[in-house]
Amino acid sequence: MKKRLLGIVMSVTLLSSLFTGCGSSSSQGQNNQPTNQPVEQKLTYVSMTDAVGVSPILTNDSASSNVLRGVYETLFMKDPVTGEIKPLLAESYTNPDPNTWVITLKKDIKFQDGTPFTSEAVKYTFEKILDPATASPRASLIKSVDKIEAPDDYTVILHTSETYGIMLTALAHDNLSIVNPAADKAGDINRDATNAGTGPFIFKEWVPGDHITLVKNPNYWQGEPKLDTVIYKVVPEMATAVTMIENGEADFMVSVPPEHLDRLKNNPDVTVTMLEGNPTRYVGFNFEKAPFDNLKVRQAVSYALNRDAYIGTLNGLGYKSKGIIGPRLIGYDKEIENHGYDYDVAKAKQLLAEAGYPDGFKAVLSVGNTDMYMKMAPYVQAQLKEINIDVELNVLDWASYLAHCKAGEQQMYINGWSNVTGDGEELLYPQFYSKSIGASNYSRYNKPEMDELIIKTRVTVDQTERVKYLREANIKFTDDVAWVPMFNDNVTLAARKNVKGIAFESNNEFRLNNAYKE
Amino acid sequence: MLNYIIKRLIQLIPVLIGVSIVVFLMIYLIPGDAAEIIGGPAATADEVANIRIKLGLDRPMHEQYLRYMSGVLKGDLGFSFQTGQPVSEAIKTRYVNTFKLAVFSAVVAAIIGVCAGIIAAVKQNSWFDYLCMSVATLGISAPTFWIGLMLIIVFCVKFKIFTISGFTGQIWTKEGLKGMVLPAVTLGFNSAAMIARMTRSSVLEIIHQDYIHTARAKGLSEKIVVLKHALKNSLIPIVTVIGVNFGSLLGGTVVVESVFAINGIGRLMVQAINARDFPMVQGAVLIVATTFVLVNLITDIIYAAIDPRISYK
Repeated sequence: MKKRLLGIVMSVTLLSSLFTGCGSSSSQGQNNQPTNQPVEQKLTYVSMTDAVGVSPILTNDSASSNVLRGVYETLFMKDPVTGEIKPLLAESYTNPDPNTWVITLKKDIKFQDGTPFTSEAVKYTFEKILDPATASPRASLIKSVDKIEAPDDYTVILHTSETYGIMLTALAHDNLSIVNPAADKAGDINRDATNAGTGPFIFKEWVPGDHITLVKNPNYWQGEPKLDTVIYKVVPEMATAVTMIENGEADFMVSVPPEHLDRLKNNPDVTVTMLEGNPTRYVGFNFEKAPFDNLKVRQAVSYALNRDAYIGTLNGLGYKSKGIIGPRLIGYDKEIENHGYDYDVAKAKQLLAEAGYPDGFKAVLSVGNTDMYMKMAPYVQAQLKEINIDVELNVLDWASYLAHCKAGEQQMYINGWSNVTGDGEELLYPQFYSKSIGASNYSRYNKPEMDELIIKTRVTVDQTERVKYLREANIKFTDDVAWVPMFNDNVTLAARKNVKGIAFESNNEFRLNNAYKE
Repeated sequence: MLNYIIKRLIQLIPVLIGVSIVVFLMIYLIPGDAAEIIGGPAATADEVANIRIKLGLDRPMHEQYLRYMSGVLKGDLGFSFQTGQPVSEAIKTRYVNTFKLAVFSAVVAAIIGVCAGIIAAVKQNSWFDYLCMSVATLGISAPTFWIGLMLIIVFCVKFKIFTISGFTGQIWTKEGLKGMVLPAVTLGFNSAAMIARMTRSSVLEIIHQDYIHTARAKGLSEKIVVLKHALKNSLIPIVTVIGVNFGSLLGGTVVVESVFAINGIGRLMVQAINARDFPMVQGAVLIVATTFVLVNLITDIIYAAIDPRISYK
């Protein structure tokens, strides 16, 4: 009996020493004690979702874009601090007439396989995007381009069928990144993007559903990156992702939800960076369905929603702006804060009575089943109850929700909008232009005078003039309660303390060109 | 026996055809399609229409189904709508991960469940019996994701014994074990609890039979009496539970795969359903259904092996 007991004790001891041995070896790399060993320059990013693909031509989701930004580059880029559009692969541009964009390219840039980057690559990429057979999800970004010329190696001429004032912001969009024609012709760069771009990192491996690995491009034209390897690890469960950052299995993540924020902020090994972001979360209306076709009803809803109180529940992850075009977008002006609607239940009730609904009415609020919107929906429901609007929630899975809203079946809905280019036009055209009905104009907003204004924000080539139109549009759409903006996101980046140099932007994007580990 | 196995395998064909039709109809009857998901919220109607044509979603429903099934008969499960990856390739990697996880957790669950059940039965109404059955009740009632997260907090954050970033190596290596133990325990906890309860009641039923008293009266040791006479005759319901649980382990790994970042077939199916990626959903369901049927067949064969009274003609 004693022997058996001794055996059991020894087995348990051995087993625990095996695992504690594992534990101590793994935690060696995670602690911050000074060591003479050089730090492995491998950075692991945790993402809730996997990329759809790794070709800019065939993707349109943020998980893919995060990878694309390492591998490929655009002709122009948005300055992360000022929001100004500045040249990247391009050197400069001129407009000999409003329908012609002559873009001069930088010389001595090479694709990752050593092929020179020339105007032919730009022509090839844009023509492929515009080909309907390609079915590029973001072809509309350069839909107005009807002819592309490459008169010499470093000049590209884009001819447009109509004036297109937002050409530069469009050319800064990740999905208009330039691909290496040789790589694209050799294979499917949407699955294997080896040497397909000019960016700081070379695609190495994709295990779908698990991770994507990039390695440094030693010949990168802006200087060799400090990181040797970047891993985009898919971790669908947020609690697990946060734990991985805490115990050092991963190095950084973005979009930390409110319930996990304090946990990471209080961890001495983690730094949380928070920026005013550009995504806007809002309550929308179907303008084709009564009673929300009535301005007074929309105003009543806007007055009835206490946005300050809701933002108070977000643990610092939201901020208020009354306008449709938020503070981090081109087209915003502080003047908009003098417009819009503050919380005023009495006024809301008065407006409902004036609209012919003194006893309120019943309405259905459609919502996609994401955590953020599922939290907003009952709040909106409870607040509208105060003015006798009896709201029934219609909760749908995301794909069904998209189809439901595109078909205009909803009465009210909750949604959000995040701009890639940081330009207000990228919000107005998809959301409120009449020809976007049946696609992204879920409000089914259709007013000829507003269409005209939206088109001016698209076609005006003079940027100062264009911004004036955007500001005017912001006031008009806000006064018309095209949406009730609930809050704008404060975007977050949580990284291990020894990770430095990540360029983080207000639309949750990051660049790792200068990132490294201490 | 061989005829029986062949007959059962032939029965698999109508099952799979039925499953494929049901899955196809379910995916097509729910709103939303892959083109809208790929296009995203900013896509124009033209962009979505072009994607739809490219994927063949503009074709009539029966044509899409027949085209898909003709591919399946030639061994081609098609390509993912969303990523363009061959479905067979995508499923293979994930299936191996899920299968490893299910086998490992089934083994863990069977060992723990059967041992705990036998001891609880032999020492009926002792503190060990109460402890085992209390833990078993917890195992059956506690949500899997909660157990997983608790284990992560204790063993990955507090003591840093295991890792949580998926399978990082072969199971027989230290790295592999570090990634496998917690998900397997989490997944197997519920099964172990059910097996323990079933083993206990099954052994208890047998242990009071006359032939067990006879065995004891013959002077056989208690070990022989329990393991050879009581357990062997209690095995049929236990094997049934283990078999059924293994099938549900394969299909029910999605929560564990999400919590432990394991790239398995459960997660693949959820992603594919959300993306309305019909070929991927269809392929994954067919593979899981086939496995389920095969596991049931193996369970039936094991019955014959452990109970000479059962034979198949």
